[in-house]
Amino acid sequence: MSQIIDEQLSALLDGELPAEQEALLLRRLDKEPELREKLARFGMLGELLRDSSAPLSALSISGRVAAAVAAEEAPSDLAVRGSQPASNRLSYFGAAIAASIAMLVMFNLSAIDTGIATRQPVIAAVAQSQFEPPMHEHTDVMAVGPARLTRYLVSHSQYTNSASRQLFDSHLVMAVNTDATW
Amino acid sequence: MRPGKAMKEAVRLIRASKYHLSGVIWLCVACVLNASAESPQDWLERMVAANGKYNYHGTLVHLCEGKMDIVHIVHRVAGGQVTERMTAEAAGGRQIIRNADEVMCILPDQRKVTVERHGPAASPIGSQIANFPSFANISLSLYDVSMLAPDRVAERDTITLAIRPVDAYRYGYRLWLDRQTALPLKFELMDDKGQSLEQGMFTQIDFQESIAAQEVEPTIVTDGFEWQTSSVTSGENVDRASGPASGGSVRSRWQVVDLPPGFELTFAQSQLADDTSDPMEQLVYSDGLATISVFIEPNIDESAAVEGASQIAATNAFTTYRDGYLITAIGGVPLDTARMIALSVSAR
Repeated sequence: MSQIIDEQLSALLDGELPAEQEALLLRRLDKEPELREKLARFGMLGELLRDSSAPLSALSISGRVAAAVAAEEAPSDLAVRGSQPASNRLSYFGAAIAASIAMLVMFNLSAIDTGIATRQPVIAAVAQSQFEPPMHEHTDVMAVGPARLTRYLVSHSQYTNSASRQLFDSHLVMAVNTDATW
Repeated sequence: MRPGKAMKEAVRLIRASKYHLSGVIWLCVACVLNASAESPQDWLERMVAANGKYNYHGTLVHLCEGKMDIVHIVHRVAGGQVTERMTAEAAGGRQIIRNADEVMCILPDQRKVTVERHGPAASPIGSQIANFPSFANISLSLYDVSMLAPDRVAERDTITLAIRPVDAYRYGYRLWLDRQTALPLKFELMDDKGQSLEQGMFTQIDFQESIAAQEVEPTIVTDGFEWQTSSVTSGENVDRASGPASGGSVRSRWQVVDLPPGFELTFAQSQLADDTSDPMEQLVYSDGLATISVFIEPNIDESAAVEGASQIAATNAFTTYRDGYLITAIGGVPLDTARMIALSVSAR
């Protein structure tokens, strides 16, 4: 069963899942956070496996998902795919999840404050310090209150390019910001 | 060679040829050359134009920092006007409806609605909501643009472009453009080292001849919701070549002294929220592709001031406080860029 789901996730990421199956899978993804995290993990792990000098075929998401599945089953396989040891990759992977959790915590904390925060040094990332650095530098901080930040985002989004605008709009409706932006 | 030119040339050759067969061969050759000769810049221009051409329903998956979200998009083009509605699968089905006049955000989970009205007159983008700034304005001295191998997204053939920044002041992109329409079916934000920061991808897209106006209207009943509205009270579009379109210098009393290479002031506006009496100023700086807004809010009590960074996904903001003004620089740029700009804002 798990293998079928993995294959469906792979096909979804490749945009090659038949419409009927896609509708069902999207409904499951909406209801099952574990499944969403799994799909996101596949993407994240795939990014770690990415080598900028690799041919495009190596960047295909199917490949990433397959690699992620293989990694879950046999972590030692990872070591031969890239330049870094598998343990480092997995710790990065853990750090990315930790950073996300930290961000959720920060968003929820920020939701209490609907105005301007008091003058103070910015709060440091909560969980990140306990892990290896994530894939890219994050501050995971919210110096400005959520209501104000959202107003800035809405105003600024008018002046972004088309690709960025859809990312901005996604931020505004994203579940992660449920308690954060308003 | 441009598509039209190639085709005309081929037809001319056919007509001139005594042997139609050789003309047909020429036509085939011209078509093949035409298909392969489109440069990355040609594709970017087609992509920008595509926003105002096609109606579609699509499902977009957003991936960032281990989180995945699904949104449904309805994109309607009618009478030269673009309207787009985005609905989240989660969070109670939050919606954003965007057109040339306003942006409306509906949050059923919090029973709130926010509306920002700008109007075509004040807007620098008029009816083309997604064309400013645009990939067509990309500066080749700030970004390297190259074409990668073809791919497939949402069961459609795509061409793939990589846009790499030449420095760490801005982000780059990888774009998967639909071979047929040039719409971006997948887009990925990346840093100057090519590291992926955030991505959005259509898993399904359905092009339609037309879409009814009702399909881009809100589907959420907002009775009893709290409404927050704000309006742009004045705006100045800055023409890079000749200065502000309205003539003379920009009226804002603020300026950024220390700008990253390639960034220039492109727009300045004042905005008044219905629950405040003091307008907020917004200065928009762009390198043609990346933008950063500087918000300056007056009459902020020092005891409530703040200095520091904020981040949502790959969007960074840096806030500082000076003489009663709260100054925030925010955009899809690295934190160092936002900090550099926020800290160099000064009164003229």
